Amino acid sequence: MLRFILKRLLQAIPLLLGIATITFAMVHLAPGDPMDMYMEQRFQREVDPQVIELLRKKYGLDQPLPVQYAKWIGNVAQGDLGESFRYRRPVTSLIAERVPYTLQLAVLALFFDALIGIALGIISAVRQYSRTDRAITVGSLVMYSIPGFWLALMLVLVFSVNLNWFPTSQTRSLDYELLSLPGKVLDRLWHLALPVFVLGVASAAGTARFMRNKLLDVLSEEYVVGARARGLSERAVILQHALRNALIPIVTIYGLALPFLLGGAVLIEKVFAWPGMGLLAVEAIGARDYPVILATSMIAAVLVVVGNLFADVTYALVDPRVSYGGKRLA
Amino acid sequence: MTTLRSASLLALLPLLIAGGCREARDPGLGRGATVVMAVPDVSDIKPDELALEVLIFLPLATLNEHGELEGRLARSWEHSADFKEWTYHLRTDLRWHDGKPVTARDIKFTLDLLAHPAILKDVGYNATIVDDSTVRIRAAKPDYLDDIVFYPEHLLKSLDPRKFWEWDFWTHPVGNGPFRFVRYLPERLIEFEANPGYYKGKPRIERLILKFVGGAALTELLSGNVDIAQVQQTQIPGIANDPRFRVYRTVTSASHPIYWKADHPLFRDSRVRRALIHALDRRAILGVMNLPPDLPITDAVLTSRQFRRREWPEPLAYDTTFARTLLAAAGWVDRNGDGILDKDGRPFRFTASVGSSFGLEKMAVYVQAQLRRAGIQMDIQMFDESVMWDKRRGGDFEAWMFVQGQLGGPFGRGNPLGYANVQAFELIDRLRETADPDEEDRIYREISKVFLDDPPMVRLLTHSQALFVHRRIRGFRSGLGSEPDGYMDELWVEK
Repeated sequence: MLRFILKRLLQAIPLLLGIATITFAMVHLAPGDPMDMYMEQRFQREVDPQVIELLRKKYGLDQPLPVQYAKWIGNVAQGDLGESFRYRRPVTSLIAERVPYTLQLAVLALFFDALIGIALGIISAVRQYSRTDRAITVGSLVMYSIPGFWLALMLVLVFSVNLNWFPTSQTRSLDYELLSLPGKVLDRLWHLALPVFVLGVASAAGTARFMRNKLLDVLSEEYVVGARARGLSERAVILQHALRNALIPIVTIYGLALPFLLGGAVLIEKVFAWPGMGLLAVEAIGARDYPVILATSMIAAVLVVVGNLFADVTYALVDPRVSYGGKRLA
Repeated sequence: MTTLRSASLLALLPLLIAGGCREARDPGLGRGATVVMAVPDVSDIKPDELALEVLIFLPLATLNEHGELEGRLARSWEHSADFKEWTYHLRTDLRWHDGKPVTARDIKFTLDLLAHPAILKDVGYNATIVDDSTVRIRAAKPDYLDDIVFYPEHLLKSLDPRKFWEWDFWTHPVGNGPFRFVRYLPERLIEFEANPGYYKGKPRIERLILKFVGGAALTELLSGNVDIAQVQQTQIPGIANDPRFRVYRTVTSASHPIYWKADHPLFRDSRVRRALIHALDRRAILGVMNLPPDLPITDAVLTSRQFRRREWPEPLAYDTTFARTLLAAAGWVDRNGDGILDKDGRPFRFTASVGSSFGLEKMAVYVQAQLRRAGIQMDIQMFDESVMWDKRRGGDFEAWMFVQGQLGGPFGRGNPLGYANVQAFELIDRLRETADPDEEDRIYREISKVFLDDPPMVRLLTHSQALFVHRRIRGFRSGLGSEPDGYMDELWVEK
């Protein structure tokens, strides 16, 4: 098992290096200059071109691209992600501030997805072709198809602007520090409600569809028919036999879902002014803040690799039939 | 299933209860003289952020609503004949928020600090301390330093300038301005309180909260979470009739023009460029862009002072007949009857590179329709803001539609527009050598005359920003002055 994980991690190195090279090339070859943020700032004052040249030199932007690349890779290998052009602060500290916010959203959205998606999938499968099944099927398809940013804006319009039930932005109330501990917890949940719902609802709809189909497949397997023939109750058949096997592929989905949730968080963070990594990445792209763009892209790439690995390993752990490299892992 | 449904409802219940309690827990509104203002940046606060610059710290002097220099840290000043050396006499009643007096040492310290190679914020100033309350500043170029604020030497001199942008001081600033720093909650807000020791008297707004709301300014405003928010042009119809708010506009001498690539075969003839001004109904564009009808339209280029004094000459008239006459004189006539003018077998067709902000796309479509009526086909290509600057720098465009701030850059010698008017070059050279406001005014008037005959652009709109303000907040000045942050000490909350 350990060998398998190490092998996969070693395989990931050239992959990540490739991604790093392509991302670096794309970012630097794309039109736009990071020093443009100093151009006619606030439409009133043009920064002295001499100052811009000095800044260019400071950040190494005056050097040939291969030299810039070699320096960047060398620094990244030592854990130094550089200094943000825009904030003029180390990228690692910027990201360290933002990651917890994004993880809050992503983890709660995954939880929401699992809770609602699996439950609806089971109900749908158990009541196949019933009105409930049809309603869940149609509802899932609709929720799966709705663009996240549109849903976010609609929810803000209805629940924040019109009904005034939920906040429109930020992670906490202005007076958060004055609240008691339960008050603080409620306040955080209150702020998380809409973004988590938007982020989790589409994947929950997908999970529901997947769960339904998988459970129906399993329910038609011989061992389930055998269990029924032995006189087990339908509840026992589903909970003790069918459900466990139907849940196995779901594990794979969750392993792969995390990077996609982070991708979705970019838009959600923008709409709700949620100060996470996604918003940082969007702002960085707009400002051509190369070090931040590269760092956030690399983190996303690492998450995809780790997510895949997690999916493979957990799949092997929960399903004894799966083996890697000729040996069973579990 | 029943258990699951109950669990879901139970999970939502506290949220709904919390939501219901919202009004009682949000301290922003309805608490006397507290004002909450939405600011877009959800990022860190930085020393060059406007909030710090004008609420906490003071410049030596600042331009007032009429374009006159008005003292802040300085009570008086004199300058050398070439305007490169200024001697400022500081007020003697000024104190930092920690009680220490503001002296000439702080001015010199700040200018030296900002020129440090690790900071490079404002360079080229050489300050000499004459005495505690007098400082002489020599600048490489004529300048009157109205936009540099100063920091306390006694708190910063021992800090490492290489870590300037990371100093804790910026998140706990000690200034000398109308508001004192209270707290900074990263990514959320920065809070100030009125400074009772402010030299102009304690501001009437007792507590000011700048709430970082990213792109959610409009919804924050509509939800009643903030009192003041800047609203994008395209969002105005959604809020214009809301009785809770008044709209204030800040207007600057910057503009949204279309630059023509003056060395392009289509635009080489100055008669064509003049015709393009007459072909556009700019008053109608104001309506299209949700702007008030009295927003100035001008073909003249103006100094900030001229603009603030409303020295706006009448713009060239919208006159399609005259435009067609000028175009015909330049050889552009619709010979094949397809509705597009042509010359030497070439149709009058070009592509305008348009910036993707400020709602310029909408304006570009309107311009396109107007020019079509004059027999000109304009295609539109939208570009990201940063790409637009790249295009201008490289001269890679036929027409360029974005924003123009200062005059100097785009029209001087070797400009990327291919604009080659020697008279304009000489005037712009003269402009770079003076900081005499009267002389600047004269030069701008002369440049404006040159531009009437040989225009490098059409100034479509004056750059303006819409600020929606809760009715209870009073004291806003004309939009020609600085942004409200700059005179927040003069506002008050109606009881």
